[in-house]
Amino acid sequence: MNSITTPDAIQIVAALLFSIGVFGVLSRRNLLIILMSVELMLNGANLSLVGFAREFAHLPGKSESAQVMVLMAMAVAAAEVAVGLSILIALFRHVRSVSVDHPQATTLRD
Amino acid sequence: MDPLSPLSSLSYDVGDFLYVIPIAIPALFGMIVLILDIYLGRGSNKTPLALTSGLGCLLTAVAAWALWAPATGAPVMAGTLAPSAFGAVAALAILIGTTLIGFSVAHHSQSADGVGVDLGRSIAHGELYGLLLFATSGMLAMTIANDMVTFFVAIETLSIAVYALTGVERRRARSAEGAMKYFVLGAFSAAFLLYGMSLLYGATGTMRLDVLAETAIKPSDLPMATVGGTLILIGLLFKVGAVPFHAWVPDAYEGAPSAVTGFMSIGVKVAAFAGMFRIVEGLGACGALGADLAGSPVGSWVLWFVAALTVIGGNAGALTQRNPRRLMAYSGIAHTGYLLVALVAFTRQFGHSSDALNMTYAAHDAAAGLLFYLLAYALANAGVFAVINHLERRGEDVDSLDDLAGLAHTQPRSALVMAVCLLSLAGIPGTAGFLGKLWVFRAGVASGDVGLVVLALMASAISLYYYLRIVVIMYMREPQAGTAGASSEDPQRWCSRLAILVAGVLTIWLGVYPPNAILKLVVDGAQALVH
Amino acid sequence: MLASMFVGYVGLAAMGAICLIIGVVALLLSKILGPRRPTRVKQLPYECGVELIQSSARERYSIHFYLVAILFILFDLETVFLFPWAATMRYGVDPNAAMLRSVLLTEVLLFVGVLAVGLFYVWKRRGLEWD
Repeated sequence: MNSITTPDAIQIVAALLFSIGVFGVLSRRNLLIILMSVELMLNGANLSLVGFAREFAHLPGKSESAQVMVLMAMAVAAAEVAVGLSILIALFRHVRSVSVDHPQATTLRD
Repeated sequence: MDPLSPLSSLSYDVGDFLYVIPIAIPALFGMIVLILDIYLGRGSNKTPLALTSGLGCLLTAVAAWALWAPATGAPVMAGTLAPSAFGAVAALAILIGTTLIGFSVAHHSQSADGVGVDLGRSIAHGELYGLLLFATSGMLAMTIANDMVTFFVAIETLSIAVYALTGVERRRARSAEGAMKYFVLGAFSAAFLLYGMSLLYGATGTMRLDVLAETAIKPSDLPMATVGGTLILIGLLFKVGAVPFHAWVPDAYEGAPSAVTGFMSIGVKVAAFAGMFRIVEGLGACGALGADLAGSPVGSWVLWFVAALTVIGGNAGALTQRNPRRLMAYSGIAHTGYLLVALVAFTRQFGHSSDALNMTYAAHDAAAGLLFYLLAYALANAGVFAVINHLERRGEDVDSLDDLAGLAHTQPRSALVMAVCLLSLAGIPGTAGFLGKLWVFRAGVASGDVGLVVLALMASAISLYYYLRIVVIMYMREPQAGTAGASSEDPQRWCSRLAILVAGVLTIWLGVYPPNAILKLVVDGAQALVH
Repeated sequence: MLASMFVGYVGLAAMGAICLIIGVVALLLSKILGPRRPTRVKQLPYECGVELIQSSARERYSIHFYLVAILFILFDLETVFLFPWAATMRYGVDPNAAMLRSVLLTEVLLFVGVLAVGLFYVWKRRGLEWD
C-alpha cells in the first residue's frame, strides 16, 4: 500500500461521510435532502465495509461476506429510496410541500 | 480454502434448503396473491385473497414447526441460518399476527348492503396482502438469521414492506404523513445498524453470529467492537420502540390504517426482539457489550436504564390517549419495556459475576419468558386489532375510544374478546399475558434486578387503568348512534369473526392451561439460545 | 510519511493539471482568434436539437418520468447480483462439478424468476404504459 488509501484513511473518510449524513438528517428541513443524507450514511457504512474487506483480503474466506454485504446494502438502499420517494409523492399530494416545517406537516418531527 | 482454486463442491448440504422453506412460502404466497389480485379484477370481493394468504401462513406455520423446531440451532446454509425452536416459536407469534390481521380486514371490500363490492375506501387490496406476506417472510428470516448479511437483508425486507403498508391508505394525509415519519426514522436507524455491523466486522473479521460469539477480540480492537455493538443495538431499539427512540411509534401507529397498525405492533416487535436476543448473544459472548462493571457488562446497565425509561414512558403516555391506535402504540412501548427486562436479565450472564451458574439459569429463563411473552402479546394484540378491524369499514373508522361505547350490548362476543385481550395485556391471572409477565419478571428477579422488576410491576398496575377504561366504555356506556359501537352483527363479516374467536380462545387457553407442546417448544427455544 | 502516501497520486495530479491547461488554452484561443457574427438563433442555449424550453426548469413534470425512473433503478440494480454470479460460474467454479453448477444455476434462475414475476405484475398493472 504505497498510497493514501491506508486502512485508517478509508475508515476516516467513511466515518466522515456517515457523520455528514447524520448531521444532514438532523439539521435539514427539506425531506429530499434528508433522504439524500440517509443515503450518505448508508454509503459511509458501505465504504467502511469495503475498507475492512480490503484489510482482511489476505485472509481467505474473511472478506467475501463484507463484499456481499455491500452489494446487498446497495440493492436494499435502492428499494428503500423507491418506497421512500413514493411515500414522499403521496404526502406531497396532500400537503403540497416537502418541508418538514410546513404548517400541515408540523408534526413530522417530534 | 485457497481463494484461487475453483470451487468444486457446495460449502453446504443441498438438504439445508429445507430450512429455507418456511421463509420461502410467505414470499411465494405474496407473489401468488399479487397475481391473483390482477385476475380477480378491480371491482371484486377480496375475500379470496385473505383466504389464500391464510393458507400460506398455515403452511408456513406447519413447515416452521416441522423443520425448525427439531433443529438444534447449529448453523446451516454455509452459516447464514441457524434454525432452532427459538425461531419456530417466534415464527408462530409472527404468523398469528399476519393471519388474524389478514382475516380481520377481509370484509373491507364489501359494500354496506353486503351484496356488492365497494372499493372506495377499502384497504383490502392485493397490495395489502402481498406486502403483509413479504414482510412476514423477512420477519421469519430475521428470527433464524445467523449472519449479519442475512440479518440486515431480513430486517430491511420487513421494514420496507411495512413503510409501504403504513402509507397504503394513500387518499388520507395522515397515512402518508405517518409513513413518511416512519420511513425517515427507519432508514436513519437502518444506516446505524449497517455502520455498526461494519465496525463489528472490522473488529472481529466475521459476519457470522456463532463465530462472533467464539471470537476473542484484541484489546486494541475492543473499543471499535463496542461502538459497533452500540450502533447495532440503537438500530434495533428503534425498531422495537424503546423510549429514547420511540418518537415515531405513536404517529406511525395513528397514521396507519388499523389493520396495518395491528400487524406492525405484532410482527415488527416479535421479529425485532427475536433478532435482538440473537445479536446480543453474539455481542455479549465476544465482549462487545463493554467492560465489566459490578459483575455485568456496562451494556447491561445501559439497557437497564432504557428498560426503566421505556416502562415508565410507555405507561405514562398511554394514560391520556383517546385514540385507540395511539393508545395501543403507547401500550406497545410499555410492553417493549417489560420485554427489555428480559433482555437485561439475559445480558447478566456475560459478566464476571460470582454466581455465574445462577446467571445462566436467569438467562435461560429470560429467553423462555421472552418467547412465551411474545406469543401472549401477539395473541392479545391480534385480538384487540381484530375487533377494531371487524368494526371498521369504508370510513366507519374507530378513531376514538367513545366509538366503542356500548359494544357489549350490540356485539357481546366481540366485546368479550376485546376485554379478555385487554386483560391479557394488563397481565390479569387467567390470561396468557399473566404467565408471560410472570415468566419474564421471574427471570429479572433471578438475575438480581429486583428494583427493575418492582418498577415494572408498579407500571403494569398503572396500565390497568387505561386497559380497564376501554372495558368500562364497552360495558357501562350506552351505544351512540352512528358509531361503530352501535352497529349490529353483520353476517358478511365471518372472516373477522373467526379471527376474533381464535384470538380470544387461544389467549384463555394459553393462560389457563398452556399445552405441553408449546411449553416444550419454548424451553427448547431458550435451550438453543443459552447453552 | 504523509508525503510518501501521496506519491501514487502524482500522475493523477499531473493529468488533471494538463487537462486544465489544455481546456483553458483552447477556450482562450477560440475567444481571441475566432470570428464572431452573433445572431439570435446562435445565442440560444443548445439543447440537443430540441426546441428551447423557455420556462423555468424547476417546474413540476409528469409523474410518469418518476415511475419509469424508479422501475429502472429497481430492475437495473438487480444486475449487481448477476455479475458476481456470472464471474463465479466462469472463473470460480470447477467446470466438472455438475452438482454445484446445477445448484448455482437453479439459484440464479429462482432469482430471475422472482424478478420476472415483478415485471409481470408491473406490466399487468399498466405500470409500463405511458398514458
